[in-house]
Amino acid sequence: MAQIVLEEVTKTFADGTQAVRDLTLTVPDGKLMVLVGPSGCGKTTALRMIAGLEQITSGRISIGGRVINELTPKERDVAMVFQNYALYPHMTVYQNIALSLRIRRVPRQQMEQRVREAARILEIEELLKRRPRELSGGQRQRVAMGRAIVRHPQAFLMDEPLSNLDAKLRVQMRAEISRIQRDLGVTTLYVTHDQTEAMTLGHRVAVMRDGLLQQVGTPQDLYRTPRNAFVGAFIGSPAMNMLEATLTSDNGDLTAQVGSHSLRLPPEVLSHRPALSAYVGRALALGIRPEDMEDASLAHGADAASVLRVSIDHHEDMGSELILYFEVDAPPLVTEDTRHVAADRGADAVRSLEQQAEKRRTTVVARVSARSQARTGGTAALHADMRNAHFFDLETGDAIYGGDRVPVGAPVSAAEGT
Amino acid sequence: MSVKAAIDLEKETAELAPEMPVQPRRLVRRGVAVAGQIGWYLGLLTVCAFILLPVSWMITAALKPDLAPVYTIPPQWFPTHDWHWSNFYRVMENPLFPFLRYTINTLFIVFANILGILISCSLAAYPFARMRFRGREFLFYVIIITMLIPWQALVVPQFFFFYHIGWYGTYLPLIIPSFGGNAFFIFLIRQYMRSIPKELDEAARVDGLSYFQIYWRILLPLSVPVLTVCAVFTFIWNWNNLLGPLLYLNRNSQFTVAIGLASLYQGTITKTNMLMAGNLISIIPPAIVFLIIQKRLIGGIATLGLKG
Repeated sequence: MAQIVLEEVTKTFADGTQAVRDLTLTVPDGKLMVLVGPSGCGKTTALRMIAGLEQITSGRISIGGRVINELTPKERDVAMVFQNYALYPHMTVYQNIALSLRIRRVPRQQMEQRVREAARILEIEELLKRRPRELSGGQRQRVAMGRAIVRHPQAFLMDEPLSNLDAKLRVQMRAEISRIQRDLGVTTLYVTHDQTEAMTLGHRVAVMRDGLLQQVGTPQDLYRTPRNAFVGAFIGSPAMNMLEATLTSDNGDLTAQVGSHSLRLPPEVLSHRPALSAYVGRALALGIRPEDMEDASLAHGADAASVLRVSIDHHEDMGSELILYFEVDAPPLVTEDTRHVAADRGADAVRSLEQQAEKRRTTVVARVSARSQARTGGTAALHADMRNAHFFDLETGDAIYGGDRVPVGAPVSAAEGT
Repeated sequence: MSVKAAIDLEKETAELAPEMPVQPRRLVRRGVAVAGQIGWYLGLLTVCAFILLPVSWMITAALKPDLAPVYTIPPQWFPTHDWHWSNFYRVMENPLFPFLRYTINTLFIVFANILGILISCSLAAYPFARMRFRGREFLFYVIIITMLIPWQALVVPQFFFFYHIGWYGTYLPLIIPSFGGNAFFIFLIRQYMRSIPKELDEAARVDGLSYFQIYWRILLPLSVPVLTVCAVFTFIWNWNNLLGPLLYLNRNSQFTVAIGLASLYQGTITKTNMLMAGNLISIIPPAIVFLIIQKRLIGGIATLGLKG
């Protein structure tokens, strides 16, 4: 087993596009790192460079201390699971799993034993004689995994392995991959565009955008302290609400003015984010996660000074909770970051973002208790828990914390531990 | 009618009832459908008979005695009174035209050509389909352009070439060129290989296969449909090839079926019954090949159509 280290890795394609820029990333030994980002952010290219399917333009990649830049895929000793599984259609499941061992001239008896072991781990022993076309999607996925684990490689590389499965199976296989990875303890780099998958699966999650690494950390790190508006908007579902706001100070009490609403910030916000004081009297972007809002009548110890009184445009009753949609008379945050996240959700999302910016009104989403009486067409008083609010610079989109802002793209080390 | 009988009758009608509700209109419609089917089959049979009639005429002619008139008006389509089956035996046993020998010779040439074509064309198609190298497109077009050269233009220089290197009178000029590839087949196989998902190659590379192993273990087995098409075409071309063997072979013991058939035709003294018997015999091997692989062949052409 080994750790994967990428140092200032860059990939420039023949047509001049830079798919990956100065990527520096460490996947600790035996851990599962998820590389997440919208489509076209360079995550798959990064993975393919590690696998040896793409040349590295510059930088260095090492696995287990061995620089692999110039090695063939065979010599790198990594296994890859492809999005469409890439099972060899003319071979049985057994032959599919065994091929890499045959190529390496593993003795027949040992080969058979290893294939059976892999099949046992994945619970596909009874499928060994079938051909890929006779398998269901989930079974194919397992065979693809089997092909990877039978080799006992230094590392697993997984390229959106679950995106071809239906939602239910995806959740099941997610748990399965997590279990297998934990049991085998193989260093794994897992690429996905699905932030839920990233959050649930990764010991560490690395967020990429436009070939640049945005932030690396545990799922909680990314959720609680996103480094910029992109990470803030990309991580979490439903997405964080981001609006333009003005910060005012009244006897040291900070208040965020959002359109006609004012939300008071408890003192600990400033102590956690000393840099905020520089923004007093200035505009900034306020980020509130839907789950940090609650029906004021149900919120314990709600600060009456951070309540939004709104009329509900639309509600969705999920049974366990209520999703509320309402408009606030402040423009949404429109930067490269938020455009990108919107673009990833589709053309409609971009259009809607632009319209909201034009009308200077933002549709806000809140996730409140199912006991709330708020309904479509009615009004509601919603308490926003400002202790969990996020603040971003309007220009740069960077999150406002202390004074030591780290620019995006600078080396980020993944701290040890899970 | 007794009460019991009446009840029985009622029962009977009740049992019959489920089959009764076929309405007259539906019956008519079904009748029309059946008539349509019959019409179709009759039409198809007519076309089929039209195509097979000359074969029937050949059989008729092959079964006639040596001096019986063959080109009668009206033509004699079906064998009626002459049944000289020995003609088939005679044409095969004629020491001047050893047909069995010819068949063996031809099969040898045919299979050597198939082997050559399959190896050379798939090997050439693989890099064109999968590898990136400078001048790939240019080279490919050069190969395609060779298809535009009429073979008649090549006959004379090729003959001199082979004659000077001492291959005249051997099978080599008829076999070795196929190991040099064929533009059309290279094109066909390349198109097919391009339709095979690239991820398979990549998975194989990560699995540790070399470029040749990818070709041998992944792409070649997956290209069987297109390779079948190439093999069948090669079979037919070489089976029917007359000019090549005629140019390069000089001994009767080397001759092929095509030469044998051609030499059965002797102008005004042609024994038409022998000629027809020989023709019929020469149809058998290709017919067998077709029967065996027709399903694969149709499958191959169909997928080519879909994917190419």
